[in-house]
Amino acid sequence: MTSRAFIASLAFMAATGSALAADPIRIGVPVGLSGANSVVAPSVVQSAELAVEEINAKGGVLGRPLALDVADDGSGAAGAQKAFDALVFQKKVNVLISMETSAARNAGLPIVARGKTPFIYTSFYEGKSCSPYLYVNAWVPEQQVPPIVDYFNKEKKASKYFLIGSDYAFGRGMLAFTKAYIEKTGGKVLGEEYLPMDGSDWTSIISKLKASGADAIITSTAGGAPNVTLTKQLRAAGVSLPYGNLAVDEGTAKSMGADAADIYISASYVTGIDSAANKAFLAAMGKKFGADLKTPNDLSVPEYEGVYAYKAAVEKAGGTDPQKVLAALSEVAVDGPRGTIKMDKQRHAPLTMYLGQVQADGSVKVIQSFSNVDPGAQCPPKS
Amino acid sequence: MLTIALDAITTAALLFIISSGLLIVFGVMKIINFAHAAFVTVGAYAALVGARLALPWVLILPLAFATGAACGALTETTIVRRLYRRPLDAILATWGLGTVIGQVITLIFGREVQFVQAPITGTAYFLGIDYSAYRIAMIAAAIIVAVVFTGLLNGTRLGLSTRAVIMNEMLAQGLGVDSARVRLVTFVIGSGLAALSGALITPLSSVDPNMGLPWLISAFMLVMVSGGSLLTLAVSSLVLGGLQVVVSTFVNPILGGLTIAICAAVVLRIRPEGFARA
Amino acid sequence: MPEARQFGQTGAASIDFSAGLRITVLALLVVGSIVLAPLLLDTYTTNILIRAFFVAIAAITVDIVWGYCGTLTFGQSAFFGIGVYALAIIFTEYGFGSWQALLGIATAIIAAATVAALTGWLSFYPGSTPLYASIVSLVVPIVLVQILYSGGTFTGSSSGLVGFESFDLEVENWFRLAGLSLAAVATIALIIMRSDTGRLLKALRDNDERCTYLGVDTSRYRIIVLVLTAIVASLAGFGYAAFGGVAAPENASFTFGTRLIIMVALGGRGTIVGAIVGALGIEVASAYLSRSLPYI
Repeated sequence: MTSRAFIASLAFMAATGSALAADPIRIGVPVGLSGANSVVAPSVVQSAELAVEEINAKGGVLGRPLALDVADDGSGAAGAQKAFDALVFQKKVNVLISMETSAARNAGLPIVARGKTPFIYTSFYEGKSCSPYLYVNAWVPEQQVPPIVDYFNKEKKASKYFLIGSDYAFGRGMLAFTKAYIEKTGGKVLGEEYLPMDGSDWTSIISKLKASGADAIITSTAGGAPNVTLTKQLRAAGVSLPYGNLAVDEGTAKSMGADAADIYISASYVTGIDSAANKAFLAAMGKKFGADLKTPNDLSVPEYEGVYAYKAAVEKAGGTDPQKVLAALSEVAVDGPRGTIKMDKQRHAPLTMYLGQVQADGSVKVIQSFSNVDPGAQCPPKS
Repeated sequence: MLTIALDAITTAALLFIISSGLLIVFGVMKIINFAHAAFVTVGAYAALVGARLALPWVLILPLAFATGAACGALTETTIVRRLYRRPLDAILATWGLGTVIGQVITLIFGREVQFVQAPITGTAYFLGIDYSAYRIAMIAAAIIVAVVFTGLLNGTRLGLSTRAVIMNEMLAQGLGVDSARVRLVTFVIGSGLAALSGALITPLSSVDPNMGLPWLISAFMLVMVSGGSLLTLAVSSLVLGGLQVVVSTFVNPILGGLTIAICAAVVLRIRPEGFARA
Repeated sequence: MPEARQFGQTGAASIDFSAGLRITVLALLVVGSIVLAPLLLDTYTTNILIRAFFVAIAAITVDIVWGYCGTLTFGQSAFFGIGVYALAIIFTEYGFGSWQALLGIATAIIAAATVAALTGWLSFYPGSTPLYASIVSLVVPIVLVQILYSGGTFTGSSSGLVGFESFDLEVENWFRLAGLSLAAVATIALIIMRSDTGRLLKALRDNDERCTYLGVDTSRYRIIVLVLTAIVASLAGFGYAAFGGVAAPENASFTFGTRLIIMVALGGRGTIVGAIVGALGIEVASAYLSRSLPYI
């Protein structure tokens, strides 16, 4: 009899105990572990892991710990379909926070809508993606392109541009905006050439560039391999025109070594940002990952801030109900390595942008900075 | 104009180097080695390792060749040897092997894109224009490869045995030629050549686990069109490679990548022996 | 157990009735389970299976061309891709509606048949070798993918096409539709392959020369088989895109074509059921494995 009572009380304690060890809030991270984004994906995952660890150490969100579910989207549409399906319908995550190629993002949005899951997109992209479930805390062309073009126009006296890109939504979207902006500021675009995302032979495009007589290049390729092959082949062909790269991150630039010297980039994050928040972030990353640390960059830091934005939104909404969280996301502000960020402009965020020049040793020297650049009207409400 | 011509010749040189290994294997063994792309990748990674160990390029190239040769020896003895009479199954088996090699490379080196510094950087002033010095060096490399292997084929006993096996294996065996050994040596040399070409193309492109694949199809079609002779391979590389560059420049780089495949398929339909002298 | 053959019975069109009856009964059982299954499975598994069913249809076509006719073909993925993009392009350009759907189906069929006829002409002529036919089948998806890449915003290039409106069915009904289509294709294939037509195809596979000596026009039969299987594969692709809402170049690539071959090889070449087992097995396994081992 006593033993039965004992067992019963044990069971009772176990039941209440497991209710207290609350069930975790699941964050889905579909990211390009293979394919074009495989170079930056590890840094993105690291940022997410640090954010989750820090938040859990302080008691989680509303008493519940955060848990990460990483899935490989193959950096493309077909893989993204599978990854999003798995995360939304099998793992039943509460939110998706990740960066991806535009191909993957576009393929995943219908699944996000079907599963009614909030999606915080932490990658810069070509703009105008307006699902009610999608929030963006990274830059769009309205924020990134003007610094480079203005600088080339003014300081490098450039007026004839040649545009090169990868043939997909991001490459074409960025260069379309760039072309419009160049023409608006009085320049001319002499050529606009594209290769498919996995193309690696830029020979004929480079020959066309040299023949065109352009005095500046602006490129928008997919991250990783296309950036590398294009830069290497440009340098091998002796091209030393002012070169603005809309899609390279510090980590890739650093490993390109001397070939990357003199490339101009415009980003919302560089490791050299002189703020207490950034220094604390870098120190924490270094401590957690040590020698395995992948350089934090403009694609991975927004991931860190995205997790914190979700935490703030859940706390404000008082729970993980998707509709309430979506409403709260436009009202919460996060203080992170990039400053204070609030996604209140039609689900996009005003950001501080830095114009940098890659040095011979791969580091980025900040030439100018612009605070609070508006993303423009990305998703005008249908009137 | 000259730029395009140089583009065409250097592209042809690259294609020749990559295809030569495949040709030697196909000519002797009449099977298509779909693991060729993986061997190219292995060579590129061997070059990466060599570069990390700060070896001079004079040593990196033989290192790549040796690594490829070793992989080839292993492949031939374990897999290919059983599939001589079944060319279609050989395609499947070598394709599977190629996938496995790709995954092993990913496991060891990770998926990231890596870079190898070119031994010759910058441009050279060549016939009046500035052109990539490394690409011009490729022409020299292709010529060296062609000369060395033609020499091997025509000037050595092994070459004699190989030519006998290419012409008629049964008769050669009947005359006492150890065709099994010839096949092994040929496969080893072919794989070594593949790896060497992988090392040679690294300065022009990135090094990642799937880098060999785009070249595989073009090399494959060139080999089919060339029958068994290195000379015809050189000619077809020039003709088809040149066509590719012309189409890429004047029409569309994407369609340019297709020219070799389409032209080769049509040529083979009209003349199944390809460009080789009947 | 050899089936009784009446002396004098000729013609590829005669169908063996007792085997056909057995197969039909089996198919009815399968149909029953397909109709009931969605009530028992969770959404994720249902999604995976729907896609796997359409892929399995494509695998059956590979089995017919390879297992029964003897041509190792990498190209069925191209026909699948034609179906995928026919739907995606028409729905993107013209929106969704019944005439657009009919136009899509017609385009899928006509385009696939044309490409297959051309491929067949290129691959199967007196004196061609199986190796050459395989090579041509390898080139077709590569060419198609490159054409897709060069299509700019019309084909979506590397990104593919998304966001087009498609048939609005409940997931359960998609499952039934896909499953029943697979069962229908499998049944028809099994019946045909066990008939004289099937024997003819196997004869083509086993000894092409002897068939020619016996007066069979091997090239014509091979081309006809290719065209018919291409149409089936294209319709499978059409269904796949209709369900998934995404068209990507990977759906037409030769890598996908190679996966189809592996599915057939693993499941059992020359048996229709083997192709289905291989396809379903690989599709489901890779979905679940990539969940637990995302880094590989």
